[in-house]
Order: sequence, then structure tokens, then C-alpha cells
Amino acid sequence: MSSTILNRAIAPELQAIDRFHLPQVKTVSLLNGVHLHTLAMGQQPVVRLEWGLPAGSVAENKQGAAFFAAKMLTEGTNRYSSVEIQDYFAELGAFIEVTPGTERLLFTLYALDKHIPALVSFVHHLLSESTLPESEFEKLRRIQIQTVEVNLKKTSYIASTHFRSILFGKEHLYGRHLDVNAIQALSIDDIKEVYSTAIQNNVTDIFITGGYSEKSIESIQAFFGTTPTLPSSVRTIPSPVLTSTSLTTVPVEGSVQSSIRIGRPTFAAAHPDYFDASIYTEILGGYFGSRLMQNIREDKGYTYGIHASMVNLQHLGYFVIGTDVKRAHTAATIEEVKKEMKLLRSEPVPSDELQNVQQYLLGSFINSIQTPFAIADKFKSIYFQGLEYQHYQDFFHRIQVITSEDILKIAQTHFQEDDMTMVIAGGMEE
Amino acid sequence: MIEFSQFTLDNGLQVIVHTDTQVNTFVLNVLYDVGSRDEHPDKTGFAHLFEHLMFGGSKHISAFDEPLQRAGGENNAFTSPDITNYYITIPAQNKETAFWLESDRMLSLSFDPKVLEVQRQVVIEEFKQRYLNQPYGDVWLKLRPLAYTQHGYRWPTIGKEIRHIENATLQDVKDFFYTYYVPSNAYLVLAGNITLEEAKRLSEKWFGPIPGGKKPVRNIPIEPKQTTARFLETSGNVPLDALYKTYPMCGKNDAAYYATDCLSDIVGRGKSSLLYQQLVQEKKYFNSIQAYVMGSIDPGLLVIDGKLNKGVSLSDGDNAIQTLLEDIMTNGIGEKEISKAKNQAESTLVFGEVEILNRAMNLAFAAVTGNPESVNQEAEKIQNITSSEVNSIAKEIFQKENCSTLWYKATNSI
Repeated sequence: MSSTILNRAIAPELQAIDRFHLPQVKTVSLLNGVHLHTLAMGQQPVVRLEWGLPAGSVAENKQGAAFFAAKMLTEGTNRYSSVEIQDYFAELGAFIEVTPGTERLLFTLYALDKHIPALVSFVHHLLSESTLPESEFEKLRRIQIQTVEVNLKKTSYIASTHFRSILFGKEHLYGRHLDVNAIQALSIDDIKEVYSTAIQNNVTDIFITGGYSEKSIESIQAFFGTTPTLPSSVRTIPSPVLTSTSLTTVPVEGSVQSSIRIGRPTFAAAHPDYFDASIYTEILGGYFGSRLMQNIREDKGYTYGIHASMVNLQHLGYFVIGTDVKRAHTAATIEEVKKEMKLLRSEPVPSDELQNVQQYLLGSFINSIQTPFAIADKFKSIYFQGLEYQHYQDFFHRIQVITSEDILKIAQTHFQEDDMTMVIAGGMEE
Repeated sequence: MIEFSQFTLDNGLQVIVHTDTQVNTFVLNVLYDVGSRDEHPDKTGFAHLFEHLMFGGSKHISAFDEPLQRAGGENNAFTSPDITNYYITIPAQNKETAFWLESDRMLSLSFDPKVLEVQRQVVIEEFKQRYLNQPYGDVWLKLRPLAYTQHGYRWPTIGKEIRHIENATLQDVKDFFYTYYVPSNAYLVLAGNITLEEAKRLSEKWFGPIPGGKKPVRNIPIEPKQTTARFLETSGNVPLDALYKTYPMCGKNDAAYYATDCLSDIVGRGKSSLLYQQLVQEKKYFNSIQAYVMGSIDPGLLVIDGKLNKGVSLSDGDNAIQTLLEDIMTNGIGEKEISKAKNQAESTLVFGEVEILNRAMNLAFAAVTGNPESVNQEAEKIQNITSSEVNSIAKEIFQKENCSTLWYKATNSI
């Protein structure tokens, strides 16, 4: 032990974060063309198994049909009732998540490896022999209507849904949201149509991650690798007509805060400006040390949090700043956001600050690839967007070499504060 | 199974080390044995406000976040009724930065008045965002003082009311720090890519010189046994009527805890539970309903909460729950239900250990409840639950006079 007195004013020496290790997912085609993506990792026998199907809302002819088709997958088959299906999963200690998206449907199962073969057989049964009982549909319809009604009491929900419908149009898949009228207009036949055209024998991808055994893989091959999959006519999402408004206010009587959304459509992750725009977003409002967080929360105390992010859609993306503030501070918050955006396109980011955000981003990337499930998610993200693993190498490298001039340029090209669409849900007065 | 070693520094700081060289990151987790239950009834919300102040600069370091970001690290914290927990995740090569930062704020804060003023506003906005500007957000502000009459669990962690946060002074801040934020009242967990030798050297170097202080003596009034049913009706601008029922139960360290948790799972966890199957699926009284335990260290609550379908009265919903519970008390719960709940609990436990940060927090929480080894005994405790144990707990807990009921009425419907 050294006997020198500890000098706490001096920070320990830092070492560069100059590499990362991202284990790669292996993909094989089963006999019927289904893609099986495997990542064997972790010492514990926990497994996540996901089925990808082309049953996103793009596959529906009536709004909401794909959403309910997904939810109906656990509501009844020719052999099991809704209750029995829930019991089957619960008895094996398994958990499921059904995630209906715009492009696709993901059916996710979490279970211990010893139960995977039985569960694979059971999920196969749900995906091929569901009967979609009408009484269960009525139950789900009622629950969903009431869920929407609860959401409509949240300023954050109102602001987000209005923001997207202004950006992409009320009718577009990216801009619309499932409201009570749309839910009421659905019939069981609309749901059956999605089931038969986009779910039954329509699995395109299977992802298995964790500490699984060979037996589990064999069960996947047996149940999902031989039946011919239907030649699915995968629809493409039409390009939205992009619009903007300078400011839309949705009054919410009695709210104690306003929810604010400020942003604009941007581009997909494959776009040459994507990396720089992401780093810009981080500096503006991504991390705790960001300009917006420091100004609006840490200096002024207007809010519990303010955040900027880039949201990836299939062939598109959008940039959005979101916050909930005291009503009386609504106008001042918007002013400050504009000021910060203007500053970022007028003056280069000081090198100290840039270095901070670079190190933070590199570290948080390393931190985000430490569990089997997170590593598989990194793969899913590039796979669904048609990118390669090189994307992460490129991003990591770009973070290391980006300059203040690059940030200034990207701010001037894409982030003019006066081009932003703004939505306020709430009000300006106390 | 989470393998770990432990040692105690001369100043009383307990250190737990969990090495996992599979990950490239390092986690430093500090748990302080203080929560909102320790607050004075006239100064509630303080433990949580204080947590915010821990990021406003320490004795030798003017800002906490910036140097951490520069080292590639991330951090956060949370306050509960029982504890306050701080954690840092950082690429392993820069782990010493975490020791430097975390030890300096354990040594002393900057006590900058501006930090208090700003964080007071931030916490007030947090209060509004989470408790006042959400449908049903104020439920626990009303339910806690109904379910508890004496214990510090009778107010939520955010505080009883905004006024308490407005009234906090810098002297309160200092008193709180010097009472509770001392090594002898803390648990340090070092997890991930770190060896035991490194852990010993770095904790000795950075945390060793901090004066140990005195572990504060906890003096929270014991909640008297509930003997009569309690009832409160309230209303709010929400679309659906909701109801909440709480039943006093044992604390986390009690031998009956796991069986009680299992009972709550059987009654109301997920779509396979009794409440969902009977009252959502069959009778269609409820839009959603669930049961869970609060998981507190001192004697806690088993909670049932549900939102009613339109057209169903609160009293019909309440009676239906009561009938279901009476049926359980009379006829008992079968083996099949018990083994289902045990299997779910077992896999929840294993999935919960995938993340290194979760493992670190589990160790810290186990340590503060008296025995870090208890993290590795949970699986066995779950497997040892018997149906007779669950049934006798059900008979005891679900007595009518044990219950506090809150009816939350929708003032307007859409």
C-alpha cells in the first residue's frame, strides 16, 4: 500500500473505449425457407424464442384488424379455450408477449429450456389452428376501447398521437392510431382475414436466444421447418406525404402539466446522415448531460425530464423532443428548446462537451451488448432494416472521429428550429 | 446461483463482490439503509428529494455526471419506502472512476443552495407528472394512509403533499446526510468484470478513509393489527370506476413471505389467475384486475386492484371479489394452481438474474435485509411452499376485517 494521501480532486486516469465485442447471430434457412436465427449464449437455461410474421398493420384491410388478430392468438383453438391456453403457458412457467407492429408481428416466448419442445409444439398449434372465437373478440374489443379511453386522459398520449398524425397524415400507417370508432367498426371477419392471409403458415423468421439445447432446435425444425410456408405477398408501406405545422395546441382541461412534442420526419438508419444526426440528437437531448436536460431541468427546474430521440421506422425515421412541464412554463420551454437548437447550428460544440458525449456513447454502446437478449436485439434491429453488422462498426467509428464541424453541419442541414412541428397537449395557463 | 464474496472495511462499510468475467462492464451499486419510512411525518418526500441532491456535486467534484460520462459510464438511482439505491455501469477499464465518484459523495456533498432550489422544482414536477397528471395517479396518496395508521409506509415515497417538498431546508439536507449517508449505514456491491483482489484494493483506497459514522437506530412505530374493515370512496376525472383492496401481510424476511407472494400470484397474476379467469373472462365484471404483494421489508400489503367495465357497479365488483376470496378460504386452492404459481415464480427468478445490474441490486437488497446469501435461497424457498401453507395464509389474510377498500369513481364518462 502506498502511503501517499489520496487526492480526491484528481480523477483516475481514463482508458480509451476503442473496441467492442458483439457476438454474431447465425442464420440458417430451414427446408421450407423459414429463417432460423440462433444465438447460443449464457450459462443459465433461459431461452427467448420469437416468431416473426408478416402480419403487421400493413397486412390489414381495415384498421385494427392486425392488432386484434395478434391479440386473438391466445383466445382459442379447436382444442383449447382461452383459459386453457393461458393455463398451458403458466403451468410451464412460460411468459408470452405479442407485439403487433406496423411491418410485422412478433410472438415472443420466455421459458426455461426444458419446456421449449412442448411450447414450440403448442405455439405451432396457435399459429395454425386458432378459431378466433367471436365472444373472445368482443371481450378484447371492450377492454381495448376502455384502454383507449384511459389513454385519452394522458396528456403524453394525446401529444404523441397528434404529433405523428400531423407528421405522416391521419390515414397513413405511421400517422394513424387506433381510436374508439375504428375499434367499433371491426368485425370478426376482418380479423379472420388477417389470420388466414398473414399468420397461418406465414412464419418467416424464428429467433432463438439464450442457453438452449439441441433438443429445442430439433423441435423448431420439426414444427416450423417442414410445412411449406404460404407464398406471402408482403405488402410494402406506402411513402407518407409529409406535412408540418408550426404549432398545434390540444387543450386538455384540468391538466396540471402540458406535454410537448417538437420534431420532424428524418430518415432511415441506412441514410448517410443517420450517424451524425443521432450524435446531434444525443448532444441536444439524449443523455443526462445534454443541452436540453441541463438547461430545462437542471438549470430551470421546469420539468422532471426532457428527451430528444431519433425513432427508426422501416424506410423512414423521425426526430422528436418530448417533455411534460408545468403549464405556466410551456411557452418558456418552447422558447428555450428553440434557443438551444439555434445555438447548435450557430456555434460549434466545445471540444470538451463533444468528448464527453463521444465517451458516453461508446460506453453506453458497450453496456447495451452484455446480455444474450440485448445482443440478439442488436441483430434484429439491423436485420429488419436490411443492414449488416458493419453498421455497428461504422457507428462506433463515427462516434470516435466526428468533429464539432460535422455537428454544426448536420444541425444546419436537418435541424432548423423553425422547420419543426410542435404539439402541445394541455395549455399555457396555470 | 449468484456467487459472491464479502468483507467489511474498518469504517463499517459492507462490501459484496460478484465477479463475472463474461461481461465487459463493471457495476458499482451503493445501497443506503434509509427510505421514506424513516421520514418525519411532517417532512415527507425527503429521502427521495435527497436522492436528487446526490447528483449536484460532492466535496471534491463539482458535477457527478460529467466525469462519469467522460469515462463511458451511466448511472441512476431510486428511492423506495425501505431503501435508497445508487448504481453505476461503466466499461470495465474505467472502473476506478466509479469508485472515485461514488466515494466522494459518500464523504460529503457540496450542499450548494442552488442545487436544492432547482431539484425542489424538478421533484415538484415529478410529483405532478407521476401522481397528479395521470389517470388514477393519486391512488397511493389516498390508499397508503387508509391501509396504514402509524407506520412510515402511510405516505408514498414522493411525499404526502407538495408543501413538504417546498418546505425542505438546507439544514434538513445536511442533517439527513450526516445521519444516514455514512459507511456504517451502506452496502457496496461490486459486480461484473472485477477480481476480488481489485475489489479489495479499490474499495480500501477510495471508501476506506471515509469516517464510518454511527448506524442510525430505526425507530418506526409498529403498525397495530387491523381489526375492522376500512373504506374510502373518492373520485377523479377518469373513464372507468376502479377499486383497490389491501390486506396486511408479513414483511420480506418472514418465513411466510414466499407463500404469501405465491398466494397473490394464484389470485391475481396474469391471465391465468383466478381473478382474471372468473371476473374478466367469465363474469365480465372487470376490464382488468390483478393481485400482488408490495414486497416491503416491514410488514406489508397484499393488494388487489381492478378497473370495472362500464355498467358494472363498484359494489357488484367488490362483492364478486369478496365471493371469490371466500370461496378460496372455504374450499382451498388446489395443488395444480400452486405448482403453476411455483413454476412461474421459478422462471421469473432465473430470468431476473440475466442482467448483471439486477444481480448486483439483488445482492444489495438481500444484504440490507440481513443476509446476502438469501439471494441464493429463493429458489429453494419457492420450491418448499406447500398448499396447506398457502391455504392457511389465505384464511388468515382474506378476513373481511383485514381489508382496506378504496372505491375510485369516475366523475364523468366519455
